[in-house]
Amino acid sequence: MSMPGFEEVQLGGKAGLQVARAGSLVHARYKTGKEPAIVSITFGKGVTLTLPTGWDCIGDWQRDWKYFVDFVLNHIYFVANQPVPEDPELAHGVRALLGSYIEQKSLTVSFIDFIDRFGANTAPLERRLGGIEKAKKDAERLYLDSNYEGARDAMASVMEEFLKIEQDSVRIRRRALMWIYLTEWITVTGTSMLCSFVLWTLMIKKRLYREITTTKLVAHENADEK
Amino acid sequence: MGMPPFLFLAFIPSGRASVLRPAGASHQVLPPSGIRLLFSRNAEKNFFSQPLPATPVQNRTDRRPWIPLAVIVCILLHPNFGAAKTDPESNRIRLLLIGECTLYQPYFVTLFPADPKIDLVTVITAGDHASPKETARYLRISMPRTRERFLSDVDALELFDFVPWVLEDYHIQWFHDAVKDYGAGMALVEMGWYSFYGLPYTSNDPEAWMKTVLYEAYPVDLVLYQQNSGSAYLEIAQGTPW
Repeated sequence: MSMPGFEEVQLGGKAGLQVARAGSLVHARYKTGKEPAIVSITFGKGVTLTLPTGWDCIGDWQRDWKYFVDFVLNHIYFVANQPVPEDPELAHGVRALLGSYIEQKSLTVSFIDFIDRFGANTAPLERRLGGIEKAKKDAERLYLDSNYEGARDAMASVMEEFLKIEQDSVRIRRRALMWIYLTEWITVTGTSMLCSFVLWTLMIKKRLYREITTTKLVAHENADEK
Repeated sequence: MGMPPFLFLAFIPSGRASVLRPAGASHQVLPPSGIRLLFSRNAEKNFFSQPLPATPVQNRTDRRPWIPLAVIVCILLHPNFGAAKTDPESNRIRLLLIGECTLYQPYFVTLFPADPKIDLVTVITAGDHASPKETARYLRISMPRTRERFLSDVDALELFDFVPWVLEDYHIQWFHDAVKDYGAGMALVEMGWYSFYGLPYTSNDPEAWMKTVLYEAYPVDLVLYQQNSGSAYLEIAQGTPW
């Protein structure tokens, strides 16, 4: 909530009135009426928190807020009594990389699957993907230890590796497609040459042409006599 | 939020197993029973300190001063020391998200799995996304079957816009006990009375929730049939810890 721009995002709206209980902590109020909006309390050994707006009401104005993801994740950290990242920018950077990892991996796997259909050797790429998975696990371990800087660096290397795999995938695809184009070219050219040869031989050179004998009507010798 | 490391030196378990839970600066530190303070400048006056009976165990400890030191070192070296309630194996927050959590909101649902610290389990219970029959099926699939399992496997709960009667009474009692006695966290999202585009409408029946044992854990008193000023924007109150 201490993220920049919190007060400029539409996180409120019409809602039922609520009164903060004694001992609770009011994190945010509605700007106009100053009613408590986001409130927490320590209940026994745990913490409870109330948020007025549902996640199904997420609009473009919230998605456009850079730190909305951090806002959503941090409220879970807060109730679970986990330390909330102190540097929002750093945490946001790591989370953005972790979020894009899922998309990037999905794209890369689809692309490798695509070039595999052309018969390209994708085994080295798959081995490197396995290495990436391990590096991502290391980054996650750093993240779990709240070492966000280390996690960001680790995830940045993972994304760089993705870029390299993508470039190599494109190279392998070009090579695979080159053989396909070459085979197609040879097939088409060969067929064309064969057809041309047959055409030339048969139609121009008339190699199989054989003059036919003239047909003539042979009159029956005794026809008139009859 | 985290407790300063030097403060851990002040706690040492005495006798039975205890859980140390750090709390935010503006939150009350609740030491479990059986915790006594050491190394405190005025331990006798400290609120948390308890007088220790002179037992043979204590005398033995006095003769071997390295024992408490070893205990402290062991506690400090434990990876989960000072951490909140998390999965002891993965150190992740096992979040049980109950309510309107469906693929109809893919943006929201995909946020949690991307975070390594959160291990998400969803239970769809919202009436506009699941019928009571479907809800019962989802509950059977995703909700821990026994109280013990629930208390040990859930670190945080998020209740999101749904009615209490789709749950069994014992489920609500588990939620209550998990927070109160076992240190689980609970977030209530869109669980108050509210209007929909100016019309008096609510789909989560806060009145029914108010009659449950869980209402005791709410940080606010809900005022039914009364709306707020309707301001779309919020302002940060003073002393916000996150």
